[in-house]
Amino acid sequence: MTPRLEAHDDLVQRLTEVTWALEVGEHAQAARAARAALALAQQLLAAGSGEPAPGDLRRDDAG
Amino acid sequence: MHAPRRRPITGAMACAAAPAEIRLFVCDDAVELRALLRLALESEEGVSVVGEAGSGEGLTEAVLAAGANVVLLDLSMPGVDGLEALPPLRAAAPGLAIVVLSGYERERMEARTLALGADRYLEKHASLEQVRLTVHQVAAERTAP
Repeated sequence: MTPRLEAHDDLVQRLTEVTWALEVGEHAQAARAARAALALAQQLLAAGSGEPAPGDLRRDDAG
Repeated sequence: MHAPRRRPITGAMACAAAPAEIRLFVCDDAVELRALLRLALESEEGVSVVGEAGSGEGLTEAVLAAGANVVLLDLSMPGVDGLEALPPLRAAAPGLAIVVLSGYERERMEARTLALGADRYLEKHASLEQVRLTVHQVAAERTAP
């Protein structure tokens, strides 16, 4: 498994933890998992973008 | 450490055909997800988690030793992954109910895992209630004459 694929898998695991923890009422665990997922997503964003030049950050649609 | 606040998991599904006891084995490398599955599924009488593993390595032996009748199996794991672990598990335990629970999209992996011996494929964005219902369904199907 490539490191990038593994990072995506980690992100899915953390987001699954968020939804399941909310479902059983474990809100603190859900919040921790959400922060971990956000950090992972930021790492993926940074790894995929390199040093952006002006105009490189234009999106096709608003997020 | 605080006691977990359990929200009762309810469902209207009748499980008359299910075995008297569901003995579940959870194989997933994410320890937090295993704990949440245990918390949710064991809240119901007649369901117990009899074993856990974080890899597919030695899974068949562990499942047989635990006397499980249902297995929840992740695909991406260190050591031996779910695609590798599934065929020997099915060969060793033809009557075992196996549910693959994976982060991969259904369209990409469902047919492949069913061909390797799984009974059901669930994506990880399934709710715990969906997991619970699926566990009951496959247990009932495998028990039916």
